Amino acid sequence: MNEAARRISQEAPGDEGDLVHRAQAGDHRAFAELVRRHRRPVYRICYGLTRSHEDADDMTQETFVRAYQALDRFRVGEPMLPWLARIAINQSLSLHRRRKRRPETSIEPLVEAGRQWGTSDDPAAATVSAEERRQLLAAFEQLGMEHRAVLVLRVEQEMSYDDMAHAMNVPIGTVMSRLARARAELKKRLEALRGKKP
Amino acid sequence: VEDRLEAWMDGRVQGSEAEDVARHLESCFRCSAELARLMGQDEKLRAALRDDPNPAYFDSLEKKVMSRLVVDRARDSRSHTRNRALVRLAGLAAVIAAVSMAAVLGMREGGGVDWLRATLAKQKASRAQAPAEPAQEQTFRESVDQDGDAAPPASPGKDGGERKEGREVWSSRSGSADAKKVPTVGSTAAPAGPAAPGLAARSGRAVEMTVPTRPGEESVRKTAPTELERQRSAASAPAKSSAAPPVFATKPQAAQPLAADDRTKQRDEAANVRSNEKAQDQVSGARTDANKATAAREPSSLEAAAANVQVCGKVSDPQGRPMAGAQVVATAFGRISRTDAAGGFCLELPPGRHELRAMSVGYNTAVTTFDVGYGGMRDADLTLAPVPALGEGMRLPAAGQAVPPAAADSPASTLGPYTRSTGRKVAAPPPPVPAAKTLSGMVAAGIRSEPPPSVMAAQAAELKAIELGTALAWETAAFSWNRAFELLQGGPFDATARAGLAECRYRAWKIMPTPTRARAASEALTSFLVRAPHGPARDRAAAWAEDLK
Repeated sequence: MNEAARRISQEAPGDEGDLVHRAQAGDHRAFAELVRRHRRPVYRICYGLTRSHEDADDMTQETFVRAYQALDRFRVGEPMLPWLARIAINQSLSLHRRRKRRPETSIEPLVEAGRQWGTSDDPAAATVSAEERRQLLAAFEQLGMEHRAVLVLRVEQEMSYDDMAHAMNVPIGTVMSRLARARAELKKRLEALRGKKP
Repeated sequence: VEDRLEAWMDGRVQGSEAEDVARHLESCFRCSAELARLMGQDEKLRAALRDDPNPAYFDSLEKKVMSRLVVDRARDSRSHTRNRALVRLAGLAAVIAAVSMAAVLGMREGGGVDWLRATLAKQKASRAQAPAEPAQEQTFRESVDQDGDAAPPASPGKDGGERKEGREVWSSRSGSADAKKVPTVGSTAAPAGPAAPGLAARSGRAVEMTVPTRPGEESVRKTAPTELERQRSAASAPAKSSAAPPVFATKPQAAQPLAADDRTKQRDEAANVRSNEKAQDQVSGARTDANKATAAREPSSLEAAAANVQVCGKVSDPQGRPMAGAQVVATAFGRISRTDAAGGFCLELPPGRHELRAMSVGYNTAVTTFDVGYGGMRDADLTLAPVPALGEGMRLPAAGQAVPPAAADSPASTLGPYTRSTGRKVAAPPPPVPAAKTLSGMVAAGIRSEPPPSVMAAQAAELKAIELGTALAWETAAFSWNRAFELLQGGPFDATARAGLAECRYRAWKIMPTPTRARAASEALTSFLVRAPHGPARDRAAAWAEDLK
C-alpha cells in the first residue's frame, strides 16, 4: 500500500473521535461532516424500518437533530453508527405506536413511490426478479418493528452482534434469538405469500 | 449445531466451535441446505433493502439537518447553555441588520423613521429592564417578528431589491448562530444595491459567519462561492450542464426567511428537490447509457462539464498481490472499470463522497468509501482487498489449467475436506475436473459475451468444489449456480447456469448419495436437458441422469 492509499484508509474512520470532540464543542462543520459520513446508513436503517421514503426522510433528519442534542452523552471512541441506529430505532418504535393509536394514518409503505425515483446501489439488485423482490419486501413489511430492526442492522448494515446489541439496547443473547426469530418469521411469511400465488 | 448455524453464518462463532460447525455441515445435508437457504434469503433481502434515493437526495438531507439545527438551537436555547452565546450573537446581529435595513428604508422612503425610532426605543427599554440573557433572547424573538413585518409598515412602495435585503437580514442573523467566520458570505449583502452603502457595510460585519446552507440562497448570491457551494455545484453539475432543471434553483421564493415552525415549507422544498432529482435521475440514467455506448473510457462532454476527477487505484488480495480483471464499480454513478494486470484501475468521478465496490470471481465484494477532492487530477491509490468467499486457501487457477486435487493444507478454510468428518463409508470423490471440462464450461464455451458477475461467482464456487471435492463444497456451488440462475432470468447464460446447477447437484449426490440429493440432482438435470442443444454436454448430462436412475 503506498502512502496515498494509507492516508486515505486512515482518514476514513480515524478522525471521527476528533470530529465528535469538535462537534461537542459546538463546531458546526464537524457535525456536518459526521452527518455526511452517516447519512446514508442512517437513511437506510430508517427506510428499512418505515419502508416509506417520506417517513425515512423525516426520521433521518430527526435522528441527526436528536443526536446533536445528545452529543454530550456520546462516548468518544465507540462506533457512532450503532448509537445513531439506536436513536432511529427508538423513533421508529414510537412512530409505530403513534400510528397504531391512529390507524387512519397507515404505516403502509410507499414502496412504489420510493422506487419511482430511487436508484439501486447494487448492480445485482436490479437483476433480482421484480416479483421475487416484491414478495420479499411484502413479507418483510409484515414483520414487527423489532424484527425489522434486527434484520436491517444485520442483513443490510452487516453490523456485528455487539454493535447490534448496542443499537437495540439488549443483551447479545437477545440479539441472537431475535434475529433467528426474525429470519424464521420472514421465511414463514414469504412462504405464505408464495402459497397464495397460483 | 442448528442453533449455532446463523451465528456461524454471521461470523459470530469463532475458533474450534466454528470448526465443529463446519465439520458438521459437511456431513449434514439438512443443515447445509438450511445454511444455503438462509444465505440466499439474506442476500436477496439485502439487495431489496438497498433501495437508495438519488445521491443528490443525501446532499439535500444534510442541508436540511443543518438548517434544522440552527432553527432548533435558536428555539431551544434556554435548555442549551452551549448555544446561549451563539443566540445572543444572533440576536445582536439581527438587531444590527434590522436597524441598518430600517435606516436604509427610512432614508429611501422617508416614511419609516417613526417606526425605526419606536423599534430602537423598544429595544433600548427591553435591554435596560433586563440586562441578562432573557432580554437578549427576547430581542432575538422580536427581531424575528420584525423581520417578517418590517417591510410593510416601512415601505408601501418597496421594490424587489429591498425585499431581498430583508431576507439577507434573515440569512445573516440565522447564520450568525453558527458563529463561524467565513468572510465571503458577507458578499451576500453586496447585491443589495448601490442605494444602500451603509447596509452593505454594516451587514458585512453582521454576516461574517456561515449562513446555514439553504438550497435557495444560491439564486441570491452572486459572488465568491464558498467551498460548500462549489461542492454543491459540482454535485449537481451533470444535471445543470444538460439543461435539466437545476436541483435547487427552481424554488421561486428561494431566499425567504425560514421561520422556526416552517417545516411544511421545507417539505415543499423537499418535494421540489425530489421532482428535480427525478429529472436528474433520468439524466444520469441517460448518461450511464451513453457511457456504455462510448465504451465508458472516453469522458463524455457531460462528464467533462461536471469537472470530474480521475481516481485511480489498485485492487489487491489480502496478501497484497495485485488482482487483475477485478470489476470496480462506483455504485452511485454506475461507473465501472476493470483492473489491469497490475491490479490498477481508473475512474472518472465528480468531486464528493463515493462508494467503490471491487468484485472478483470467488471473492467477497469489498466496499470502501472515500472523498474525491475538488479541482485538478487526483492520483490516489485505493487498496480494496476482496476476501475469498470460500475460505482463505482458495487460489484461482489460470484459464484451462487443471485444478490440483483437494487441498488438505488449505489453511483457514472453513470448508475442510469431506474425508475429515465422519467414519461413514462414502464413495470416493471423483477425480478433479479441469475447469473447461465442466458441463457449464462446455455450454458457456460458445458464448462470446462476458459472463455476468453471478455466473462468474458460481464458476468460481464450482472450481472451489472441484478443488475441495466435498459434498458441501458442491452444495455451495449448486447454491451459487441456483442464485445465478434466478438472477439471470433467461439470457445467453441461462443454459450455463442450468448446466452448472445440474453438475453440482449430481456431484454432491455422487459423493454422498441421499434420496433428497438424488431428487435435487434429477430435477436439475431435467431442467438442463429440456433446454440443452444436442452435443457432448447434453450427452454427458443424459448419462448422469441415467446414472441417477
